[in-house]
Amino acid sequence: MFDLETAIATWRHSLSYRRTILKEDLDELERHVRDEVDYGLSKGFSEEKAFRLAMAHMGSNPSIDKEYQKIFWGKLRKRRALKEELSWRFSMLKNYFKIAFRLLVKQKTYAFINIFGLAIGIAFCVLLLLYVRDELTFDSQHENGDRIARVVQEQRENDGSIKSAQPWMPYPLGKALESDISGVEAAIRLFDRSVIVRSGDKILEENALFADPSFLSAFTYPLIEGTTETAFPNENGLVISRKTAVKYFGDQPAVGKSLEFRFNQVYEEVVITGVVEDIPGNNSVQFDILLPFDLLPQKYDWIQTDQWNASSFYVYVLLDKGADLARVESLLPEFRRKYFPDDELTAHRKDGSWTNALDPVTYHFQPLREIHLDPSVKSGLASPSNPMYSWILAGIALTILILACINFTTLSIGRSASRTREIALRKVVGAQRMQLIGQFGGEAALMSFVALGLGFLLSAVLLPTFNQLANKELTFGGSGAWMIPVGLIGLGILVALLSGFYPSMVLSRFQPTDMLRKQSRLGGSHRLTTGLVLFQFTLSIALIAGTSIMSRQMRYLQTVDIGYDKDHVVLVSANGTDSEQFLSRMRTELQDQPDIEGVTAMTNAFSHGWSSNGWTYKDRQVSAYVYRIETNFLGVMGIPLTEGRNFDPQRSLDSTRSVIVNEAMVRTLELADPVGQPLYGFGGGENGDATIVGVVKDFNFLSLHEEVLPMVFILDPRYSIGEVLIQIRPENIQATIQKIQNVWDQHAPEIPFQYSFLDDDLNKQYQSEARWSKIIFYSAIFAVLIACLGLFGLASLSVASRTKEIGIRRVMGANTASIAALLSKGFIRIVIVAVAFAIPITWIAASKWLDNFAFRIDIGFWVFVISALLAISVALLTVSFQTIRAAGANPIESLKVD
Amino acid sequence: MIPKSLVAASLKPFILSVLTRGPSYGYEIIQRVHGLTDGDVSWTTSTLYPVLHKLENEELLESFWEDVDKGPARKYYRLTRKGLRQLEVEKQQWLSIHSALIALWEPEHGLATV
Repeated sequence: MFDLETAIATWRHSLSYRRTILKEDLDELERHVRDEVDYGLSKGFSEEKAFRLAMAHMGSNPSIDKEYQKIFWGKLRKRRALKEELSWRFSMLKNYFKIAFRLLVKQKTYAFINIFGLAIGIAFCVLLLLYVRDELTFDSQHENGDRIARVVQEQRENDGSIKSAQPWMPYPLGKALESDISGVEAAIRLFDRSVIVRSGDKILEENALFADPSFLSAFTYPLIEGTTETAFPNENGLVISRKTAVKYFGDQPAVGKSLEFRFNQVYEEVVITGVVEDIPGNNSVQFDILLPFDLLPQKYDWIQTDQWNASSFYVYVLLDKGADLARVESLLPEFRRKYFPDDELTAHRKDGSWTNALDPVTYHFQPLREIHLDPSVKSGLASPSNPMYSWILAGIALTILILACINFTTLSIGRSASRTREIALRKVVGAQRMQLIGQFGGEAALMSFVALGLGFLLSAVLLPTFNQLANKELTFGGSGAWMIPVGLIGLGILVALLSGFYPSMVLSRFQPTDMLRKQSRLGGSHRLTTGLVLFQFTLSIALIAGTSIMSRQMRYLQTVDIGYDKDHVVLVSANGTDSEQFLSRMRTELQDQPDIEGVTAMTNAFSHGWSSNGWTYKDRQVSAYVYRIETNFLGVMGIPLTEGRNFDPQRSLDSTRSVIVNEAMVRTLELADPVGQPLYGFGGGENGDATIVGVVKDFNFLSLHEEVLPMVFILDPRYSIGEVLIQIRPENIQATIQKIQNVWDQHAPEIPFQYSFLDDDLNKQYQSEARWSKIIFYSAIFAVLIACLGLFGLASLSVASRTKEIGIRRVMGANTASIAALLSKGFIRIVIVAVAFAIPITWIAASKWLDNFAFRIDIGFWVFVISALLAISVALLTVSFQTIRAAGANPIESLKVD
Repeated sequence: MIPKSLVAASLKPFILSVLTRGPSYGYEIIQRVHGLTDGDVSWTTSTLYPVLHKLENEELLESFWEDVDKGPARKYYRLTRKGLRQLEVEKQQWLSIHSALIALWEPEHGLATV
């Protein structure tokens, strides 16, 4: 039955929740409705119809609210009620903070899980931010940076795509560019080489950069002593970095003092003309010692200044102001044709085997700022960085942050059970949905910013380790420092939104009547929570399995039999010595020592580079790695011969015409009976073709990334000895090294003694892989940690919501173990599904990584079994903290809970 | 029906004009305008009151309450001196638009005078 008074009261009540509508406004509106109803009644309508008509004219509550909203603040100002309104809002804010703080204190575990988890995610992101900033600001300190480019030679396929690109240029190229190409203001040739430096009684090996005089004016390296004009004149300049100056001269001024350089086995004095500020790590052109380029041909006789076919130098160009790079580059093909008129590749165009409009080989100006992130040019003064690494790091950091945000979301929703009363009460006394969203969002924001501070501290603590992993020198200061605070605030907002948005939507949605009556658990959708935990564990298991596979491969690389004795071999560089005499002296003095097994030598150790020769063998091109060795080399290094004989010092032909090859070479040449066969085309000339006298078993002279490739040993003394290899006994290593040093000091007192171990050097070939293996290891630890935090929180919520059930089961006779098992079952099921998801992901990713190696382990299914068992036991352990406590609790207590 | 935008634009001059005949209240203002325009101009309640309050904030109107037998009191609005001046301004604006349109709608006169 319709009752007018009830209808009006109900309508008025529904509007009274709207904060913008004051009591007097309600009075006015009610009066209006009553007037209109009276009018309706006078027209003969029923009460109900008159009321409905009035309501139709009134409009809906939200539309009324919207109209009143427009004038709300003006009205307050007019009524001088602004202060009251603001103080009311402030006191509400205070109340929110108070509640948030009480919750933090009351629910320490949740607060810890949330804040600590978020802090870890944020710390990762801060480190990533530093990394990305470093990559983005690479080579940006040079004022003329946008006018500087590096000359790169590109070789093309017939379809026009680039086959390879390399930065080494012939000696005369720089000057030719300056004179032939309009738009090139200066060409700066660079060459880096290690030199031996003496100052007083200090003798050190240092890396020197040789450069043309315009180097310091084209690039920007702030001078702290000397001026740009005087610091680096032709031929007689020497500029050092601040840290080099400190190393040699302490805090004394360095300009005017001199250093001695050992060129051609004698020391020469060079006077210092300038000192530059230390060069930040994000520079591709680095130096501690800068010497004039024109010094090179005077000091090193292998350098030929008119040779276009020997490329060893880097050339950077400074373009004219306003010059268009594309226009200048368009002159380069013509330029190259001028200096390489009968290039073999150019000839292909004439005989028709080259059809592309572009030349097969061209020069290209690569802008300075693009050098660092362009891995297509593999070498250079500094190795370029593959942008893929930035993406992988970004992916890991973001994933860990998202995991932490997921924990926050699931826990906030789960925790809502204990807040139903608060939410219901707020709603009953008039809280609007927006206010509740604001409140819970604000709580999330508060937590995020506490976590932000903590995360920032954590990142400062982790920075040195991260620098080691990423092979960087990152700091919080430096150029582009503004990116840090901006990035941090952005990160804080992102985290607050990610973690606060969904819970606040869910929490504010419920009807107060439901909440007060049913005392229900609000936990969003159960499927969502399960999905999030599933995601976390999938990732954790994948990372655990990945770590295990990577470390097993790394171990395999170190323990696999590579075919020769790499352990306990000391390498001593013969650089700067008269190598043949040096070797014979080392041999006579050391050979009979009890701790030394053998002394031998070769051009350069397997771990220290190589040289590959190509020649024509019976109408076809073959190539092989060539090493000059000593006759005792095979014996000392434990490399077995499969056929033929070793070099014999008694036979004169052996030193010039005999070679020993490996099995891979025999396979390439398709020889059935290699011993005694000529190696056509190799080492030809006046001595005639070389003859194969022996075959060695294949061994891994290259890194294990590569298959065993063809290789040739020679005894030819025209190739000089670069390194002495000394096989020592594993006992008394320090004493033995001291003995070697004593011999060195007697023979070459003016050169610093430097040695390394062959196996250490070999391991350096896998540095990059070792680094990535470590990065994945750390990520796995953090991912597992965060996933466990999440699971721990979830388990405690699940237990809390089943307190009564547990109590009843206990009363009915269930024991602790069976209840703990019951509670854990659900979580373990999630982890098992996660294992199923993780296996294919890891399998694909790990196979791709292992493809980098020619010699690799099989993945093996047991990796997944162990990872899964590990994940399950960690999960079980985490959950059992909660379940065992709950199962063991006194049922009287748990049943008393309302 | 007169389109919403025109109705919204005419709200202020209508309210000010109705109130020149003496103090009135929301429902009465709606009824008066409804009657004068044969129902062509009709406002929903939720648009009228906020505008009344806005004009009151701008001190073009002032309000007072009068008790009624049953239910809440009735809120009356009346023009202030400032409101009256504002009405003159509005009037000029509407008249100038009105006369311009009239001139255009009577082609002979319009063309002859141009």
